[in-house]
Amino acid sequence: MTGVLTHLVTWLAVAIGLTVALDVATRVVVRRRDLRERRLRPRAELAIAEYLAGSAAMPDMRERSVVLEVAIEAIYDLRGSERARLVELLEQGGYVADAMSGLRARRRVRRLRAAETLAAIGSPAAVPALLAGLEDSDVDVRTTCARTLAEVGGDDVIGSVVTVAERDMVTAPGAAAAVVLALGTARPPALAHLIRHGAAPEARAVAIAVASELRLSEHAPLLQACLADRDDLAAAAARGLGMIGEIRSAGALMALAGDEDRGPAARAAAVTALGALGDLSALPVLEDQLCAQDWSLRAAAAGALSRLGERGLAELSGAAGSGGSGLAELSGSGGSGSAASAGSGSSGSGSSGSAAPAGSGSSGSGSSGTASAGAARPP
Amino acid sequence: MIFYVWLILGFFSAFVIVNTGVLLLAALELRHYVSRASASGLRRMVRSPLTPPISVLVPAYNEAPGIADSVRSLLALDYPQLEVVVINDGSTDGTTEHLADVFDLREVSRPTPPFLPHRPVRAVYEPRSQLRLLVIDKENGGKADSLNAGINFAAYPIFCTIDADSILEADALAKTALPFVDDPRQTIATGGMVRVANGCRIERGRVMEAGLPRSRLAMFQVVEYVRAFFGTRTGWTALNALLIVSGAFGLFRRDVVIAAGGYRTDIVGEDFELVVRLHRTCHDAGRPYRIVYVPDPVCWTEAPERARFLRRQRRRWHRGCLETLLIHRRMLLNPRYRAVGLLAMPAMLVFDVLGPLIELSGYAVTLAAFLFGKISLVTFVLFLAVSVLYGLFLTLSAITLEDATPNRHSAWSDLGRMVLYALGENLGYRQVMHIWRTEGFWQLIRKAEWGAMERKGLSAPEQAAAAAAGQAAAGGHRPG
Repeated sequence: MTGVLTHLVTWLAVAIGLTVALDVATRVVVRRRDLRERRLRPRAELAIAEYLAGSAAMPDMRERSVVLEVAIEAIYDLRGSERARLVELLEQGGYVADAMSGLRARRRVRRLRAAETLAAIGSPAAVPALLAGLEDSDVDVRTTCARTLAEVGGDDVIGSVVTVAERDMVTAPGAAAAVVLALGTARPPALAHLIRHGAAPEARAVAIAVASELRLSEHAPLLQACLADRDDLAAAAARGLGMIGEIRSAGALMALAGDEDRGPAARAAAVTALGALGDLSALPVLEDQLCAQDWSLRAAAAGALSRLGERGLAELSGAAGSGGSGLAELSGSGGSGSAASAGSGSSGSGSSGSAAPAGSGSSGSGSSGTASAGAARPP
Repeated sequence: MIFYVWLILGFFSAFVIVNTGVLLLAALELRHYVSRASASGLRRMVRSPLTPPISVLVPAYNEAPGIADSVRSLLALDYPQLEVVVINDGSTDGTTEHLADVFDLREVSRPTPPFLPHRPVRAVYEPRSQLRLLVIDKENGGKADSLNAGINFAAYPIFCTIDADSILEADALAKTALPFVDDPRQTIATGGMVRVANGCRIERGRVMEAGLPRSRLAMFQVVEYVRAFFGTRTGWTALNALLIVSGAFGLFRRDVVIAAGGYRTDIVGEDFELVVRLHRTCHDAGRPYRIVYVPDPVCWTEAPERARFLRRQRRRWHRGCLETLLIHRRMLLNPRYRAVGLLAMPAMLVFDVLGPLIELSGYAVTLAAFLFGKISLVTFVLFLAVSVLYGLFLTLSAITLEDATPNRHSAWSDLGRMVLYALGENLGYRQVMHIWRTEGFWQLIRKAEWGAMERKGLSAPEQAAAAAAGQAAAGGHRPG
């Protein structure tokens, strides 16, 4: 036993020594890098600021990594001619060319950094390299290239970008959603293909969320068509129509809100959207929903009515006075109470299956329960 | 006796294999994380309209001295859309009144959503301004009960739990929420790093200057936390078998937690139990999911500086572990639950729950074997040396992993202190912790009470007094 233990102690002592050495080496490298950056950064910042202010002198490009870092940080906050000037500087300084060649590197990390650099710079000169990057084996590199192409590419590349967004939506939903967002921001008509029925449901959900968040009213007819789709898509579309303020869709929303064959999440979203639209013709439908079995639907109806001005509030008070199930509390006259007294239905648990797409809840709704809680709040 | 010594060696070998494996996984996971993390990605996320909004839930019991600063610092977090929901759990020190004064709150009528049961709500308050703050005043029911109330009232699809006396770094919420943006369908919970705030300069709910504590007991806990978070949680994340998302700082998908039934109010380790239950319900439903530890974001919290409070904390944690493992014993060694049932839970049972007992008995038996002449002095000393050196190796490896994380560069003198305390931790502190944790067994049988906690607030000028009081003892955050 002693022999085994002696060996163990020896090996452990060696392992500890190596670990300490590794830590010290890591610290030395990191510290040197930090010190160097701290020393060079002010000079780089000043040079770039002077260049942007109109100085004809090119900044000292010897410390390339620091200059690039400072430039990329600045580029996020710049617009218009200043941004264009900085992009031009980076193109002339060979940074774009470096990143384009970095996209062909063997190491994934290097390719990803190159793609991110090109995304930050947003130079049209990089389009050919970015198009090649759409075929990269790594999903992060691929989607970063697609996102950049959506912003700086011409009409001819949009089809390829949409293909990447659709294809990678299952494996990398967040990155693919960023591509769809870039498409929605830079080329709104391109979202139409993703919202339509032929596209994958995951991609459609994200496209609907993007159209909603960006208030793209040109897609309102497509969103209205989505109300007939499966519940999660219908709920997202209903939220979007409410956010866009598409008053012409009130009829379709009322139909969805009153359709007892549909799930509470979709119906609650439609009810909330009707409240957002402020269409008084929705009053009877909303009043009906105050007696719904599902708590979230009742809460959404109460919230929607409270947004319809005096008539809505009058309806709400009247319904509360009539003593419907949990209505007094939902209308705000019940004050506080225990959870048990707040109604019989609970859609909170039932909503677990409806996977919210990225950002689908940014209007205060990601599940039926969430939607209801948000909707129940007075505006 | 010799047989028992060999048994202990067998236990130790298993401990080494599992912990070294987890450490290697942690290194790989950290490498992957660092390679993907970028400032531009975070900046893009913070600006994106697709970033999910978050409800930050702050359960508060007698937190009047520091609650206003905490709320202010939470409202100022670098995140595109959030609301802060303070749940006053029947405080007797005027927590609600203090908040009402500071934030100009007014009482509002608000229906209580029925999704999770909790003690009755007495009143709901909102600011007259546009601040996204909601204060729920409810009857006392404990932290888990408060969180259930907060989940009911939360407006957003993701909620964050944070202790009222903890402080988040400005970008911590965004970093911890990143997995929800990367994979919104599968990510159901994430947790960040919890660090010991004792020794930091804190002003108005913000850490102005990070530093190591002067208190020895707090220093030992710094070392413990680093090992637990970097060496353990990162590794289990790689296997999607993370069992603990700290109650001090964790993000959850609201609908999934509601579907799972929320926090249990009849046990002490409600945060641990919830995560295990989330694993269980997702596996039972055949639903793909991810529970992720994110190594970068930091939540600062007070560590107890008095042995009395630390002892109480450790006994409670241990009791919480044991209770949860008993509740979910069907998952143990059950292949249906994959890495959770086959690896993480057995490891938790053997090394964390039974480990203290086995290790303490190992010391006793080895000492007895030496005294009765069954083993030589050299063997006895080597036996102890192996135990101490392996513990030191684990801790130093975790410190190295931490130093490889971006933006974590403490002074050289700090490294020296950490190494010294890592050594000291294995030469006495750990053994004392084992004794206290073993007492948790006894507590489970007796169902002893928690004990009161005293809060004085982290912000200066109360900071020094607060640190001395060791007030975090009853709240506490399990490091590993």
